[in-house]
Amino acid sequence: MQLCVFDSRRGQQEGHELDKVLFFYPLDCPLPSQLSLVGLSEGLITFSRIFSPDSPCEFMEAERHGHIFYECEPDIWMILVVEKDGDQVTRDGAYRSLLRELYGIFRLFYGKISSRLENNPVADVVRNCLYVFVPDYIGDMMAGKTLWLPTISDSLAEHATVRILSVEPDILLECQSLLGLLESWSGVPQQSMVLFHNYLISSTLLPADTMAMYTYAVLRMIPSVVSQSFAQGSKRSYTRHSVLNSVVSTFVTEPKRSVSSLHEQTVSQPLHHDAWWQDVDGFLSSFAWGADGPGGGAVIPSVWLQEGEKMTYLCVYQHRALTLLMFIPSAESVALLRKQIIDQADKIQVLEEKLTKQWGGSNAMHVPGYRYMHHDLSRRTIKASPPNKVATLAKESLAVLNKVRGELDKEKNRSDHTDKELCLRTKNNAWVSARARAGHELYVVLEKASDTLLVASDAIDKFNKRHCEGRLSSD
Amino acid sequence: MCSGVNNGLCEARMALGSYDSGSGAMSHAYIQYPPFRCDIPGALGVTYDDANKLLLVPTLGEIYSWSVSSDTLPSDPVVVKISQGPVLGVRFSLDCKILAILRSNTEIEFINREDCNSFKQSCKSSSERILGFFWTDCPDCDVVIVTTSGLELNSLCLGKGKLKLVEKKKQSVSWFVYTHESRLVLLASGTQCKTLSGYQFSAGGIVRLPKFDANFTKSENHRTFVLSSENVFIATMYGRLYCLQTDPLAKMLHIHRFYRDAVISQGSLPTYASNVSVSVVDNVLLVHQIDSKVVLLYDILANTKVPISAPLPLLLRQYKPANSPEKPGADESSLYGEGWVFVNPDVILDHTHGLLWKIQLDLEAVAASSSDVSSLLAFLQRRKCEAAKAKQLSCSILRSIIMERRSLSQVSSALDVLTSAFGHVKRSSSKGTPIGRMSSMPLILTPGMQPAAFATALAISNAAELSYGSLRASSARAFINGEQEIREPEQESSSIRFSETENQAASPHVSPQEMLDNVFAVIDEGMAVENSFLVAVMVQYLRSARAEQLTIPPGLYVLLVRLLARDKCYARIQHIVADQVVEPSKALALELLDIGAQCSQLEEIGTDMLRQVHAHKDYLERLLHKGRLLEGLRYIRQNKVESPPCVRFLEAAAAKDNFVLLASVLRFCCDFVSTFEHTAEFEKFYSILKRDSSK
Repeated sequence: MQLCVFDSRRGQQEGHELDKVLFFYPLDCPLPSQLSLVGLSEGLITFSRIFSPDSPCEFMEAERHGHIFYECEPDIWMILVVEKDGDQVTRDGAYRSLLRELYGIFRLFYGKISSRLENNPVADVVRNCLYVFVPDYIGDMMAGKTLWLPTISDSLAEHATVRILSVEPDILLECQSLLGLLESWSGVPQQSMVLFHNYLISSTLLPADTMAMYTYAVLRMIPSVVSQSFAQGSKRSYTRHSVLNSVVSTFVTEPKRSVSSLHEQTVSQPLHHDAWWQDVDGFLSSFAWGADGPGGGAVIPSVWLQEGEKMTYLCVYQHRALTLLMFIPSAESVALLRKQIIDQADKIQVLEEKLTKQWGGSNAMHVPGYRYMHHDLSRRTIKASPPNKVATLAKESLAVLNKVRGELDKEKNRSDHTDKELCLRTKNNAWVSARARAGHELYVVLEKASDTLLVASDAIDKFNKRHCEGRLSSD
Repeated sequence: MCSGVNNGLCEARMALGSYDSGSGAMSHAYIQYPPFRCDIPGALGVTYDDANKLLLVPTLGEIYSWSVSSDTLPSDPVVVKISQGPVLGVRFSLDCKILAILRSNTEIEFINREDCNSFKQSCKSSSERILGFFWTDCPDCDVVIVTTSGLELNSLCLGKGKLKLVEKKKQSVSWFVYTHESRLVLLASGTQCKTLSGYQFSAGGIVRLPKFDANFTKSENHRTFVLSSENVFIATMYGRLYCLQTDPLAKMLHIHRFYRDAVISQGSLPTYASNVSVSVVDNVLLVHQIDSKVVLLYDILANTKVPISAPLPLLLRQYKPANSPEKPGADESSLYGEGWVFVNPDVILDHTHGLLWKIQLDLEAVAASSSDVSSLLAFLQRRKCEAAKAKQLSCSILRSIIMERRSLSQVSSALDVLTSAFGHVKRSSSKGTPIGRMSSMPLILTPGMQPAAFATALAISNAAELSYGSLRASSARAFINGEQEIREPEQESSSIRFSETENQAASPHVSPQEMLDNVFAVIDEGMAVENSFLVAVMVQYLRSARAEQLTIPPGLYVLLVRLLARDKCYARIQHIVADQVVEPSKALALELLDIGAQCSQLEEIGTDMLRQVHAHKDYLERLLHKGRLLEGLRYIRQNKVESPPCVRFLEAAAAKDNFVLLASVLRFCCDFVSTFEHTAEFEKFYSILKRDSSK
């Protein structure tokens, strides 16, 4: 696999092409190969722009490789090169979602690449950030030596989306009311987000920010991944700078960039493993944003929200399965906010108990007989069968679904308003259905309904009525 | 001496004159001028028959009676001629047909008003003395005579002209207290008269209550204190029965509550004075400090044992300083005069001047002087007599705490008070018919009280309590009587404009719609607070109301979404709509479409909501407008709903310059509309299709 981030506006003069490259993976890839990938990609983009100025090249399929193009910001491209595994080609949309997710989290922590470039035309800062962040992200996908990229088995899942739980509106209202109480102390409008296990309960952020923050939280903050004691955290004797050094030593492309200048830049490393731990008072802390001098406390984490492009400080509180994220405009108010949260701790506890009572365990979203995914495109949320249930599907069904989704992706790119319904019978006698309408998509695989199309369609209609508010009814 | 009194009165009058502005004066309880007057020459005194709500004035040879329960005071008293002789006590029977007069401490005379026959009943033994008597509606007996040796339960045999003794409950009695409201008689015995025993003579039968001892502090000089009938009051508050006993030395008021099988002490309230008397107005306990002439207000259902508000003097409202100086009755304005007697529950008799005052509460003044919003609202929500006023005050208090931008948790708990009061009434009124309810918690004797409203008060009461469960048969009647009775305060308050139906106006509870109209919308119009705070408050209210399972009017959600949109919190709107934190409705859908001009996602959500709430017409119009023709046609076919004329679909399809689409629409029209193929429209669009497809 190769991953490249480049800015097509940079390095316009001959001999300076390398200046375009903001990031390249693998880190030890020789410079000529880096340049050739960037050159090829740029060429394709320029060529395809002639026919389609608004959305140029998206995907290039070669004999053994697939190139996925993602323009994360105007003229800033992410190119992912994946090796093809036999005949089964994972739809490119799945990879693009992965890139979208990667960029989303990056932007959340470091801000827009273009604005960073404006402030620092040499691009040290952006490169530092990318070289600290992306390898951590890729590291998360590594299991041993193999890299877990999306495959056809992930056809009932989607990167860059938020998993939500079906919760009674009254509990959600209670959650809203609790957040209102927490936010009311300052009079300054704040943002907040609530997670329960790895599901989103509530968010006031924009969908894109919600997605990024949610994905990050699931990676690093939810109870199952957080260190439970401060002792553990402090023992780790945070090694951020040494990590950075090792990164930098492998990245010496231009002689004028000195290693010492990198040292001066403090780059946060939010995806560092065990970045967060829980203090005794229930708050989550992290050294990923550095420490106030040697032996000092952790620097308050900050994020860049798309809304207003402002730096916002983050305060995280966790009670059992409930994770509460509050975003406040100034670091000074964090202490006040913490007091407010502690004052309302009993209400948080009650909310957690109610959610736990309603939650049906890790199979809460399972609907017997169905393997499904309902995707709300505008909110970027999905409700889907739990992965362990999806795993019971036959490879064949998933391959068909992968294909169907690929087709639908293309259809979506072509028109603004998709209104499609597909129902396919696979060779293994399963029904694969896809419905897309008005910003909603529903994919269902029925392996037991080996009956007629009518029966399968009825079953999906029933599902649609019960779980999708009848949005995707068959006509 | 006369001039001295007059001087004093002048001062009093001047002082009162300054209060004349009415409700602006600081006082929580007031008596309304003019009082009820009964200046009969040769009056032997004034008594009040609490069973019939009659003011009785005996003279030599006649008894004048006024009904004081109706709104307009009848000018002419009913006069009953009696034979001459002393009158120690008078009571009409419950049907007002028989008049009973205590002639001496051994003899009662009964006069039948219809045939003017009379007979006399005397004590059986010479050693006993009659302490008093009362009429009851209990099935076993008609009249109960209390003597020093116990209770005599008699039934009346009019034909034979005598009383028939039904039962005798032997017990030595020093004095007794009875109120018709509670049907309860308390008998005092013992050397200090501190042992109290009671019977309830209700329509369900006679209930004997366990004995209990009054408790009072022993004086330091070991002089024995003897409890007198002035120290003991029977009070009915929120349908519960209490014995209130003053303890002059400790300056306390001890409270005992009667249950069917027990009398349980409920603690004590400080009275801050030795010489006190007690009234109950609209279930609020008023402790009059006679010497300092101030009133303390206690609400027995409040959790605290402190007065609702600071002690303030009783106010005489709208007293015109006698501009007729020749009238000697001017000194009738002296409060807590020597002739004042406090009669259960809220009446003051002025023996000196022959007046009857009715005490009333000034809710506005109470509201103005209380700072604890939650308990004040709880207090207002329990008011029955001036329910509309209480409701209005509740709303305005809420408005002001929101506009003052009190802390959200404070506002939230205030909202909780309102929703739980409303929720309670709603739940209890949905259980069974009103009649059924009345019998289950009967004898809400405080007049003009709504049974539904009353349930709130009773919610906390124990099942085993001696409520009026035993008074079933009489309850309905009592209720009806009550309805006709003290209407005065209620009618007065209902004249206050409050855009509500009559039924709701009689309860102080604030429905979600009223919250919207009288609180949220008003604040929004006034732009008094920033949107985000009002949103936070509304979310608190929604949480509270939904927890009480109240039905929320769509307007509330519309306002919430509108406020959020004003702050451009589109993402949040999207979330709360998708999570159904706001319930879908057509009004909300239209609002979302409105906002959709700024945020296209919301437009989509609004369109979808139209479908969800089955607003077919608007939904199809939307689809037409957005050019989603096939979707619209499929929707028509599937839901079999009335559609806009198919020509509009055809026109829209033709305008799109997409002949496949036009063909589909045309095909649909042919299939769905019978004989469409023979219309001019068909020809028209068919030719367009032919032309386009051949291009």
